[in-house]
Amino acid sequence: MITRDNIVELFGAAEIHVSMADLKDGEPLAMQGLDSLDMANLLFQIEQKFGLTISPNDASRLRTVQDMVDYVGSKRH
Amino acid sequence: MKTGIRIATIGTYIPRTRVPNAELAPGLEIQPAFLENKIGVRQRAVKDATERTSDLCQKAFESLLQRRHVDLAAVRLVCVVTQNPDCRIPHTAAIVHRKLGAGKQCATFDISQGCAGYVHGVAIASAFLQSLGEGDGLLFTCDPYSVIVDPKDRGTALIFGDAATVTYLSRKEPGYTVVDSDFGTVPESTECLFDDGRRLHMDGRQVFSNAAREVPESIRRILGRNELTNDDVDQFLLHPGSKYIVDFLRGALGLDHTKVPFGIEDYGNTVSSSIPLMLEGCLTLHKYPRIVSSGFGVGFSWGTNLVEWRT
Repeated sequence: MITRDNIVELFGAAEIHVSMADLKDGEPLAMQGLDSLDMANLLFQIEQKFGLTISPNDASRLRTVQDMVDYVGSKRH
Repeated sequence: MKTGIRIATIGTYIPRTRVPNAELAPGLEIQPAFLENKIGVRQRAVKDATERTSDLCQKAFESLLQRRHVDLAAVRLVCVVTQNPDCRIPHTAAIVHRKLGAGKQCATFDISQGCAGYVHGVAIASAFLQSLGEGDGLLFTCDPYSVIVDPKDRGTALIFGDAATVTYLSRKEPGYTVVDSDFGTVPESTECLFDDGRRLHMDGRQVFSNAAREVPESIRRILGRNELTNDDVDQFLLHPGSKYIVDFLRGALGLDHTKVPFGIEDYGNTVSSSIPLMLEGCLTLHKYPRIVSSGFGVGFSWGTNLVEWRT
């Protein structure tokens, strides 16, 4: 079971500094201060952590924390 | 690969014209902090519209002549690393050969490689010269991306700069010799960087992901094979694709800031010329016995060389 915390803990590895208290799971991360390189690094951390290769098409759809939780969960079943 | 061929001298040419990024960033919706801290390029060197790749190579050669004597009769190889040739036929190395007035007993060929091109070029040219058994070589790099970058593309418009370099490869003089190399290409990754005939396309996320995964592994492999640690290497010349990727790789490898130069703030990412531009500084300083250089990008390919100073 992949949880929100499994994703959020990767923000530190990607050196993304946002207020975790204010982080909204359903809101695009680009609207919460993350730039394109933050997103690239976060998706790389997800690939490394969960042993995945995220395709360009899939990457373009992973915009929120919830998207990432759902995506990783679907790939691990 | 121990050939005995040495990187003896490097000539460089960076066009004087600079385009400041700060003026263009707002129109591309790029924040000043992102430009400064993540792209790391304040201004880009841009060639004159009439200059072609062979012209820039010729100017790099003129710079080489200011640093050393070149006996063209001893030059048995003119090689140009470029993916932006003057034309499809003939190869740009033949055009450069003509412009230099080099001799008949001189091989010419291009190497089509991108940001890993210099690392490939040094390994290939060194082995080629070794097989010849005599003579020296000139290894050029030049990829003027100002021709292929779309100035409205926020992913590429503020990164690349134009430049050319030429490396004098000698079999007798002191210099850096290739001790070991590591090369590779990620399967099914060609679309992360490509030119559709009209402009350059870059999937920055894929480029980052491939570099973050492959480059540290490549460097660890080459260090491991040679029973070296980070402490045994004096400089790590990591292709400065952007400040962000260099910072990431430095952190992933646990390298000290002082061992990883960046230095492209005032001219940009010059693709195949980026590593020789940094290496030229090392040659001038004469204080780094052992260097690892790693280039990565188009392909997605990477190349890592371990070089050591030989007298």
